Amino acid sequence: MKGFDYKTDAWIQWCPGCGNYGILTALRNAIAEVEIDPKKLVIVSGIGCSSRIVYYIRGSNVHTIHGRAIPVASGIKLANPDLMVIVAGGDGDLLGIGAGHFVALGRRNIDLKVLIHDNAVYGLTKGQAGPTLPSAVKLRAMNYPNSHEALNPLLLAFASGYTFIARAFAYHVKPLKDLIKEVLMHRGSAVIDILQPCVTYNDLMTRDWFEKRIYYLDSLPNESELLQKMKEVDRIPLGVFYKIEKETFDQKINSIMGRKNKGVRNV
Amino acid sequence: MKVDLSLAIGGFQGGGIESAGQIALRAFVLKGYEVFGSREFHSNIIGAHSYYHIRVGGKALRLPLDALIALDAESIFTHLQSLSKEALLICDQYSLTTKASEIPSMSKALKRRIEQNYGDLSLNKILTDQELKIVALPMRDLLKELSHERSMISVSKALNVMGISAGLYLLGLNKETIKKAIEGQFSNPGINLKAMEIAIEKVKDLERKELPDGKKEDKLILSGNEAVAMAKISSGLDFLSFYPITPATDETLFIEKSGKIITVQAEDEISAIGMALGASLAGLRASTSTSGPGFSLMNEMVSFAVQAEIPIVITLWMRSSPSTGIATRTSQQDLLHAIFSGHGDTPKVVIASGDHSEAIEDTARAFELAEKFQIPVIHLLDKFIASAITTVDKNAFRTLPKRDFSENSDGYLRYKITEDGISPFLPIGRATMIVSSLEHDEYGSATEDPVDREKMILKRIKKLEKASEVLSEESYSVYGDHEPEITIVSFGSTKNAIMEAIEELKIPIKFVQLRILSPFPDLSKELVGKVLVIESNAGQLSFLLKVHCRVDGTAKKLNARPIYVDEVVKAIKAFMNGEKEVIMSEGV
Repeated sequence: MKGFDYKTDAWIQWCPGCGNYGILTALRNAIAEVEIDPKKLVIVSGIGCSSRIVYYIRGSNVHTIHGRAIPVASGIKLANPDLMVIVAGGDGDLLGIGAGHFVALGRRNIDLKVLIHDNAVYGLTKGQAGPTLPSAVKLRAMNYPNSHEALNPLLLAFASGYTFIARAFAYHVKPLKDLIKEVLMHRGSAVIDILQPCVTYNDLMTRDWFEKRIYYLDSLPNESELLQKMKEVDRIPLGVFYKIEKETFDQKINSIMGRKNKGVRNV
Repeated sequence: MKVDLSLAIGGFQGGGIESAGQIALRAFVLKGYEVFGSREFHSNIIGAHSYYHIRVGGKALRLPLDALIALDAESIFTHLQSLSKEALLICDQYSLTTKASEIPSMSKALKRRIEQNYGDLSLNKILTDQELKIVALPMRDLLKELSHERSMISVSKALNVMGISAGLYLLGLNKETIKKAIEGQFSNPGINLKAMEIAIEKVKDLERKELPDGKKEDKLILSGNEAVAMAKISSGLDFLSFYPITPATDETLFIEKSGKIITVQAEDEISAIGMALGASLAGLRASTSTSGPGFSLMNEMVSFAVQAEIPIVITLWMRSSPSTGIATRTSQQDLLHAIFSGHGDTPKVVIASGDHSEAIEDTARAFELAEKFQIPVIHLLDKFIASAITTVDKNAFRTLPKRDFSENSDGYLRYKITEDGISPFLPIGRATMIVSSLEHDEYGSATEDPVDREKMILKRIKKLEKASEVLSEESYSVYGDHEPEITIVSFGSTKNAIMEAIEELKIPIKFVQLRILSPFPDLSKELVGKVLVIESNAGQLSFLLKVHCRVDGTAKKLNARPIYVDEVVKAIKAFMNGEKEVIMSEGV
């Protein structure tokens, strides 16, 4: 299959130049290369610009409500482990209003792949500060500088127990596609924090701003350097930070219920 | 001879009150009587006053009490004014020397009322002039007898069995029946049987009248929580997600224990209903259970389920609100909350059950309606039913067929416009589709087009109209006289108390018991004479009835206690004498 086979006839309503286009292309190409049957592909989103992605990729998709993609996706995956279930949402959606569910997913290690479209603003409501916006920054639509500290998605994911944690840049489509392919093969709660500039409202963290700071990790950081790598802000490392194999939630539930785990790898 | 008894066993929370109550229920069932037991307890793990109220010979609670088994002094003070004139009081000798002011766990409000009524006197003095049959047992000596075998601390746990055994024996049950009931209660009843022997030995020479055998039937003895749990299992529930909350959790844990159903403890109620909706989308029969505060959190998901057309059964065990209210006490305060839950035009079904048998029936019906119309169904129950125990017919449980997914997946339209508004359902994973919270077209793609929008909103409303047609006959039950002086309208757990009150009053009264509250049925032909609404809230059904039809008066229960036959009788009489608003205040 080709990425093209997953296209829909919906008009894409993101702003020209939006980082979301890179994510869309990378995701389409990744699922095409892994050859997922569109009927078995389930993208679940919350609310916000990023959440529109469910209309742009052919699948058996669900557009839920603000912050609640993870609970609905969890129910789908537990009900039918044969499906490839991907959660897509912004930093506001997944780490603001949906933060409790984000943490709970890490604790459960359900086999869901979470893609954070991380642009540090609430775009659809026109530019309020998102959870990952650095402190004291004033973006164009904000009345005052940000009085909150920025949340670090990688550290939160690590503390919550995610078994696959990575960071990517939305405009680097090929490395992002490869990373998504890797995440699709992982079994357990996985997260990619995708730096995705909002061309309209985030006039600080632009494409140029990121390109001056990002660099790729040479290899998986070892235990002693892991937290330090996750904490880096002046230079921003990309790639896989953490990856382990652990029993998943549905395996545990099945063993409690005395059922044989199907053990289906979902691609 | 019709045996009709009302008794209570009281003590401190954690002191085996529930076991004692269940032994009593089991014993009367073994004897062949109809029973109903209601548990009243504090929101506290151990220490506060708790009691079990048992009615023998009926399915509703009655006051005053014919007997009180008081394991401590606080129980006597608490129920003092609920006792009939010649009631049997079984208590500890030591309790009688106690003053209310000496009991630290007792509420200040109750102490104040006792002081006003009797002064700060010991029970001995307070009870002097009364005609109660007091059996004061030397509990410490009796426990010492038992402690020949074990430590005093371990045998003190058998105090409940001593009290209840003496009580049941003096009320006319024989030793063999009590023994069987105890054996049924504990997996290892040894020490408790010995406790029973000691207690009965002590009271065997007192005056008692052996009760005649009743009609023995092979029935189940269940709490409301258990009845609903078993009904869900029997209905073929596949998936249950929950967040712990009183009084819903016991239902969930019963289901979890069965080991047959995927049961997930969520991080909050939003997630609990979210996961259930996800499982339902994937084709499973799914449900969640909660109470008022949890349902508040679920509201956004109710709206989502309506918009995205996802079947879901929400079992809503109402408790005393608003806010945290009194978490372990009953009320019917979430009626309007349920009907109007979710933002926007959100057609949904709300079912209410009047007792255990109806709760079982309605559980299966809730799944059928949710799946047929692809809507949220809210099943309203309350704490009173949740923890009340009674007998239920073994054949009351229905099984349901699996959900039907026969639609062709090629060219599948999740929101296909049809004549009745119902689009064929295929689960996620069976066809490409979009399930959407945004307004959408037939495929599920987002749309803001005015024509699409109008079509979709009418489609969703049409489903409820269809449900209304299907349900019209079954939306309410009518009891009593059809050419009455007054018509009583009520819903939920007030049912049996009202039925018994009507029977007792022997005047022509019609009783319309609402089973479906959304879509609200047409009652215009049913309301004859003056209309009295009876409910355990500040007038929510009255409000609905005023909007849909008419109402002349309301009898309300607001003190977070169950409803009693006697206060209903009084309320009806007051209404017939012209009172428009009656507040029923019985219960402790």
